[in-house]
Amino acid sequence: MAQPSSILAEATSADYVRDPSHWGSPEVAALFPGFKHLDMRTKGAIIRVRHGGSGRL
Amino acid sequence: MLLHGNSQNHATWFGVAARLAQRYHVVLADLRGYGDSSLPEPGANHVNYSAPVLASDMFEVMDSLGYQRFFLAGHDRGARVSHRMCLDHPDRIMKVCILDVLPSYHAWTNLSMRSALASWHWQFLAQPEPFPDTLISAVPAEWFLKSRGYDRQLPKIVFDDYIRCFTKKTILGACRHYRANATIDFQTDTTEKDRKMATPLLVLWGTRGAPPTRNFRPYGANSRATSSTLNRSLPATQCK
Repeated sequence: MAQPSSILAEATSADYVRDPSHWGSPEVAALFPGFKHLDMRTKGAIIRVRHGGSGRL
Repeated sequence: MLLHGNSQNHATWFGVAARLAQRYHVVLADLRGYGDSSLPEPGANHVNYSAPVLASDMFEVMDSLGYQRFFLAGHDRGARVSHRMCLDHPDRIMKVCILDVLPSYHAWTNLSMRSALASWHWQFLAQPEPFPDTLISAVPAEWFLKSRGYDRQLPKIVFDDYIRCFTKKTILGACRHYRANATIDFQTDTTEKDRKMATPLLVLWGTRGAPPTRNFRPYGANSRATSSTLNRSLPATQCK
């Protein structure tokens, strides 16, 4: 199995206002309600990830 | 896990992510070189943009979130990465949905006048650096993306996010993806062209998309691509 990624940064709601060029706009964030918005390090890259949801299935 | 296509980022899933999240834990990722992900150096023979390396990124993300096995869907470049993820770790992908692509090997070895005109960017973006990236960077991002029709397919806030991300970095990233597809990945695909995916597969495409509907047979039940396939066309490509 691949080595686990590590979380480098996580956006807060303030980040969308303070730094929209980096994290995107509050309007785009609103399309993904309740999702976390992260930068994750893999072996060779930093990957931007948004994830969320119930995970019931 | 949902994976986006060329010139796009994970915001492409705006229309389905929140609905899926009512039942599933949904993971959206920007492929390396695209969106807000980083732009690694290409490495020898573009290895760092090869499908197995792109697939490894996604498995590492899912490992980090605690998922050994998961459902997967990919569009365009994301579909090619999805295909590779199924080949490399069939035990980890429960089911896969491939959107709007043909297997790369089939596409390269069955070029026609019609498909070459529709997929001109394959040949253009695969040219050596800095030719294609310099030309694309010379025009405004909004003009380029409008010329590709994105403004007619998306809400303005998503289109604006594509513009935000359409920088020299992502233009270079796109070129590196297509160079890898035409070199190291083609070499791998040639070796593995008779290999079947074992993962249950749903193939979807837009009836107004390109390439034409009839060309999607290579992912079909009679093809070498997979052992279990369901094919469906969608009535439209627009999603406003």
